[in-house]
Amino acid sequence: MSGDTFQIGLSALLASQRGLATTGHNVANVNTAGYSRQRVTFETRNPQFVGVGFAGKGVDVQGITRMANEFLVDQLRLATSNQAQADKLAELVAQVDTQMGDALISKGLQSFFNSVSDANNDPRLTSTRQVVIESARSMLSRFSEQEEQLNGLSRSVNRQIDGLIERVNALTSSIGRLNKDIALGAGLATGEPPNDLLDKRDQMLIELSKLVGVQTQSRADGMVNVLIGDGQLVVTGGTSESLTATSNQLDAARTEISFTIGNALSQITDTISGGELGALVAFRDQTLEPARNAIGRIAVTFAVAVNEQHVQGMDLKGNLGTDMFAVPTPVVKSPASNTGALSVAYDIANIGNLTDADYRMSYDGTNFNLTNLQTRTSQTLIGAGPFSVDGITITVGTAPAAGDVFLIQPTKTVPRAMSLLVTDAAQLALSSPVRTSRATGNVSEASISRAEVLDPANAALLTTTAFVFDDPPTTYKLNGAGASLPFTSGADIDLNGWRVQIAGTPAAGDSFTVQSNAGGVGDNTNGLSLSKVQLTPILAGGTATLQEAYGVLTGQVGAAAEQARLSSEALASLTENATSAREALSGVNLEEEAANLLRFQQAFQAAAQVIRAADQAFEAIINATRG
Amino acid sequence: MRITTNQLYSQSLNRMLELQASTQGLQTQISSGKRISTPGDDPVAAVEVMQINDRTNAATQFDRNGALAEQRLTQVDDVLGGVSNMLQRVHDLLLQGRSEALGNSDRNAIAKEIREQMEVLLDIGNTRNASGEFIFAGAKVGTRPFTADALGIVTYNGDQTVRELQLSESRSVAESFTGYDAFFSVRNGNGTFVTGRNAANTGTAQISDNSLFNGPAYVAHDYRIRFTSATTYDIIDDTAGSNLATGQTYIDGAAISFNGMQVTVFGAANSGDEFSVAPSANQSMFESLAHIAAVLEQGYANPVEQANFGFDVDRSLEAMNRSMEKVAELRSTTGARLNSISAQRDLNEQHNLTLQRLRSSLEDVDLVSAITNLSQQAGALEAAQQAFVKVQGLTLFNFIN
Repeated sequence: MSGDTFQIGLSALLASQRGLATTGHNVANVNTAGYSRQRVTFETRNPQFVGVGFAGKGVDVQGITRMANEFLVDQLRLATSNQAQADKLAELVAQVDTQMGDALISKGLQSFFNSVSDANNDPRLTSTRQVVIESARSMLSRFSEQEEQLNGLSRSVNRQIDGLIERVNALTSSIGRLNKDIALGAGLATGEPPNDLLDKRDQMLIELSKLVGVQTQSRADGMVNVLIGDGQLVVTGGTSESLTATSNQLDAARTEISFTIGNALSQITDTISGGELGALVAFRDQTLEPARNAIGRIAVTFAVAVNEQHVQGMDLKGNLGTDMFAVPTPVVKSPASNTGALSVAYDIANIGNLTDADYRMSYDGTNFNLTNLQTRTSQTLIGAGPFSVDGITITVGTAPAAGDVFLIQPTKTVPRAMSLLVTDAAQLALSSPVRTSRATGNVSEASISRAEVLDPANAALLTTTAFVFDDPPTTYKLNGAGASLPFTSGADIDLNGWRVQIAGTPAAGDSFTVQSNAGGVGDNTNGLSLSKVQLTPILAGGTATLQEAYGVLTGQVGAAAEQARLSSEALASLTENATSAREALSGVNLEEEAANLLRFQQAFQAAAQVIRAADQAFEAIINATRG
Repeated sequence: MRITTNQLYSQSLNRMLELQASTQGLQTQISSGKRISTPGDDPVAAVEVMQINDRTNAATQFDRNGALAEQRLTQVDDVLGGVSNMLQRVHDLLLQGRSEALGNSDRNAIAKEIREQMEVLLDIGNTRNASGEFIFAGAKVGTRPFTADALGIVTYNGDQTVRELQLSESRSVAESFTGYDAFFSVRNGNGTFVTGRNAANTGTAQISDNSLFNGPAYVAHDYRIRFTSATTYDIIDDTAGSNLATGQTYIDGAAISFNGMQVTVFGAANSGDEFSVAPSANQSMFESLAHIAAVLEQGYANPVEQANFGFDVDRSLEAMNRSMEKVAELRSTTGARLNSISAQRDLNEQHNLTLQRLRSSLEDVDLVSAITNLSQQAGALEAAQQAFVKVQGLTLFNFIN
């Protein structure tokens, strides 16, 4: 009988010990990320029939349960993934936002046009002209500086994608190995789960989902499959498949995420969402590249508009104005496999239609198809070209073969390739190339307007032309010779690339002259027109001025930054909720463990007392029989 | 709900971090005085502030242009004031020189002074501005606009372009007049037509008091009043090649009117004497002055020459009046420009003030509420810290022993 008591006491002692050990394990892992508290469950041993009834035989440890809920863990993983994406996005957008906060371009444009205005006040002075040259130079460096900063971010995005892909691969292969261990452990324990390994895997999945959004599939053997993007299996049971960082086929400056499907690498960048990787991809497509293109667009439009006006003037030495800025042609990129070649130029007359987008042009054997990569809209270009689309003109050089693709970047890298052509202050064309005058001997008070330049390239632009009025003065002859031309007061007279109006009632013999403005060093007519470029809506199809377009960009980036920050804040509380929910079930509470510690300690002491009682009973019998 | 030890830590910690971040944000706002440090803080306001900055910056430039235009036009006005005084002086001298009490030598002395005044006018015409530019040279600001040759004939070397300065986004103002407009295009005669006396006239009749009494009836042709006897005259339209009137009776000192014009011929006319009436043309002030000096220098020795002299003086007075009218007209234009510049500058300033107020309302921190917030946040942070320490001190393990 005392043997039974011994056995019972011993079982209680062992069970309490297990309880103490498990409590200790919980306490030990109070700060272990992803740890789920464990509980020992007890059951009574099968009783023994002793004639009068069933006698209890003590206690057994039934198992060690992990307090976890797969649903709560999934919730937490999803929330963590979204939050990691939002946090990363907020961090990335804030970098562009900070740059925009300096209003670098807007201030530069303002000081350029202010310098033009100052030069207009004193067009003869080299000092004021020199300031225009300097501020034009500074404007270019502002454009290229801003573009360079954004390009730096672009390169940084590429590097970060590389780094993240390595970390994703390391995690997926660890998860694969853990999967194997778990399946093995479950087998050894005849169905009892290896608790700590499961926690470890859950934690790794959370780490992985911080990097990229994943889905999981549980399997009967205890392993999980992990899927990425739109269903690429990166972990299948015990094996894992790597992601690869590749260069974009058309644009080597762009790192893509690829995955081996079948035997070939496929780009899966567009399907990636969630986690830091998702944030990088979204940032690049929605904020960074559009911002680079927008800066480029403002730079190109500025330079082209200034050039267009500058060539309509005359410089201090009496030479016609030349282009102030060298503007390179848009970038066309094509893979080596292409047969044909394209050349792209700015469509100067429609420069206001330039967009912030890059384009993909493909040839199907009969027609070209042009896709705007920002709006994702396509159009078919019928014929052989040249095609004028969105402020650019695409000319087909070498005939393409079906399947040829080209990437057209109209504005992206242009700012850094622009340069200043007018570097001598005297070359600044502030005057009108032609001046008008009435002859000193004119009898009437009829007047001639200033000349408006229509075509600065006209070879006869600077040829002296006199309008000599006939008698009666209803007609005039050019230079007093040839056919008489009818006269209407105030009507446009277009000749030799300029336009003038003669108003009033000329008298017979009155003469008006249009001639080269060489020597008109105090004239600022073209300078005033140059000033007007600032206030003319020349972007976005003639709806925005240069500074307004920059304002729109700033607003877009600012709104994206605000949005990213707000969603990062909102998601932080969601993550906190998901963490609380999981913690409530799985987390360790030291008070609780302290109480359990006391409980098991007392049970252990009681069990020891049982053994002692059994021992004393036994000794009593021994002493009684010793005699 | 079960609370775990980790949550106790992390929740209190998060709360403290949040409070720290917002205290920091408020502190930055208070120290900079600005609510917006990057566009992301308030995209709409940030873009508006940027545009306001651009516009105030542009307005500052316009104001600078306006100040310069004001300065230059004021100089033009001063210079024209000098011209006006000089013309008045010549006018007075001319009246003096006309007096029959004077001898030829007296008139020569007056002519000398007039020639000196011409030199003054030449100097005035060649005035430079603060930037060293000739103000009456049009766009050829580096070329001396008026030069006199050995015979004293003044030519204009500038051009006919007037420079404009930009006062606002849409307005610009001319900063001067060309020398051509100011000094070379004074309408001669009465501004509409000019009369002439044939130097070969043998009578002593003169023509004066030319006026236009009916503008719409005026026909800008060349006419001649030709005496067919001492008492009759014809009016001939040379442009049309026809006679306007024939055999008119001449009444000494009576007005003769035709085609909207009215002239007065007085004195004794001989048959064959002619007076011309032609449309006005431009004449330079220099030429007028030179003519006056020449007339006074020439003087007269007989009644016919005296009649010529009288007629020339009459014409010269007309020319001086036209010149003074021209200068007055230029000065009133200058005054109007100065007024409009000053109005525009006031407007720009007003506009700037409005913009600055708007900017301030968009980007400035409301200091009172910011400081109140800051002290609230700081209080909350302190409370959170105390609560954290207190809660962390409570643990069952303290009592196990």
